Amino acid sequence: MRVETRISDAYREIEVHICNHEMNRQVEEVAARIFRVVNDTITGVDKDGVRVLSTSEIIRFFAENQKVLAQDERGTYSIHQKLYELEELLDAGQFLRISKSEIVNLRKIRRLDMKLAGTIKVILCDGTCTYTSRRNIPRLKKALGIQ
Amino acid sequence: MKLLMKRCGQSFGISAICGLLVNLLIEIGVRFATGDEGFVPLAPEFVAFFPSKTIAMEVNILLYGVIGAVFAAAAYVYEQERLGYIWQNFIYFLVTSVVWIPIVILVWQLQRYPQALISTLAGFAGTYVIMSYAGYRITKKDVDRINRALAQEVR
Repeated sequence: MRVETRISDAYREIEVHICNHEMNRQVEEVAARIFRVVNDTITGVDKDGVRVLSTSEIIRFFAENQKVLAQDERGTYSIHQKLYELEELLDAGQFLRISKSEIVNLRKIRRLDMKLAGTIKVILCDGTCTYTSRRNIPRLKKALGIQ
Repeated sequence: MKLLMKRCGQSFGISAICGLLVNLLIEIGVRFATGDEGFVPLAPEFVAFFPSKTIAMEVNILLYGVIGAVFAAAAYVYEQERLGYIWQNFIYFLVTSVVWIPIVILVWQLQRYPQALISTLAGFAGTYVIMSYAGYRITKKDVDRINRALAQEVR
């Protein structure tokens, strides 16, 4: 397989073309791998500039002061996608919308804590605490494979 | 806000249509059973507030719609995660009661029948407390199951 890189002003953004004389399993596999690689990253901005973030390392996406932020163990980054766009973009098996303003990485949830008043606290791997409501519990159960 | 208005509008429509259908069914059933052609499924005292039975019926259906819209709007409280289930239920109960109780008193003229008023209120409050308690227990159980699953995943 030949891999070629073309750099030209004719391109406005990165394009990946897979060329072959027929559609076969190898083409499908290459396309699927590229798709996974491309979709496993997201661009965020912090005080040091633009960063490419691996979605699997992101703990949560949340809305705050009209901005959408992504948080990983190193810091918090501003991202341009809206939460509903992220919901479509991210792997539904890994990320779950737990409230109006937050999407969390299921693999980064440490535990839930239900208080006497019925508040459901979601404790994340870095100690961050957030909240979900009772109506999101069935989706959380489903995402974790609980019947 | 837009979504909330949409929900209220939809619930208003659904409640009004359901109210209309229930009224129609009662009316048809009673007219068929008793042969009373002038029957309308409304308290005579409520009908007396209006110039005609038709207007009374229309207002009644409108009020069903209002109840539906308020229930839908009040459900917004369940999206306030930081409030907690108990407070969410309490606020929902209060907001909905402030609307539906006066409407029901007006439409059914319950103030004239204290026993009926008390039993209606007690029935609603009792059902609400039982449902809330059951919901709380179920959620607590679910949270425990989720924690067990998360602990297993870590291992």
